[in-house]
Amino acid sequence: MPDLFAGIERGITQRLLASAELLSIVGERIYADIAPEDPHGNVNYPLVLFSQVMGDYSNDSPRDNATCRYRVVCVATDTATAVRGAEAVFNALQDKPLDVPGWACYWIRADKAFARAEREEKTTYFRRGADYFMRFDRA
Amino acid sequence: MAEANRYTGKNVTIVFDGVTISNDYSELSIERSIGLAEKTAGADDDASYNTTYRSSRWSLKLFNTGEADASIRTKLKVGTTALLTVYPKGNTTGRPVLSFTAIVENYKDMWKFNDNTATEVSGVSTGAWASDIDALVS
Repeated sequence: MPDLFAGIERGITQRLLASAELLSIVGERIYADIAPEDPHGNVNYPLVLFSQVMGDYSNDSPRDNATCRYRVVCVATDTATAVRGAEAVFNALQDKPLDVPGWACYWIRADKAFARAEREEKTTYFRRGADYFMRFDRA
Repeated sequence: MAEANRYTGKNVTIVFDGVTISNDYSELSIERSIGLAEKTAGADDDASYNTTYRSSRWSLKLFNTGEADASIRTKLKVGTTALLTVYPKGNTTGRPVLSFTAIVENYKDMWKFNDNTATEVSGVSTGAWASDIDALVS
């Protein structure tokens, strides 16, 4: 069932790109796992990164069903922007089931807040966001 | 290769009143027992019994939509009496089959905010089993 998690990544991207609130903060800089560098080796901020934290096929009934958790964070060079981005992500995802072909998403909610600051080459990068827990079964 | 001496419930097929209800089941249990009449005399050192009659209890846990569903929620209403047939290894010739008339005695839904809702249904058998232990699908 590997198609599920690829579908989830597409679903998250679609849902976030549909948020005018988020686009006004990060533009279309929404990436899975890692942000791409431009031809000069630079990364433009702010941006949103998401990555899978866990995925579990429940195997508690003949019907295929799964749970998973994705961390979605806004990365910015100032705290206020990172917080606003995280709020926009929340507004875009909380209780808004993803469209994943072949699967029915019946739960998506933030269940763990996430915050971290990292300093690198005289720049501080603020990460704010949450882990989103999701439930799916075969449509 | 010899048949494994263990098996799981992944191939269980459950049919109630002609409708397959195992497509999203989680647990099924069937318990048979025999009544006992004690005949221990006061001077005896050890208890002794006569067997009386057999009885059976069954319970089923399954997921469903929570909506009106002719195949699950309607079929399993309390008080319903119908044939319950269980194929522990699937409805395949030569595999075991258990079958008896079942009465739905309890129907329970319990909703948790952050967990899947599973319906639990349980009851008893009435009368002799149509297919008892060791019966095979023909």
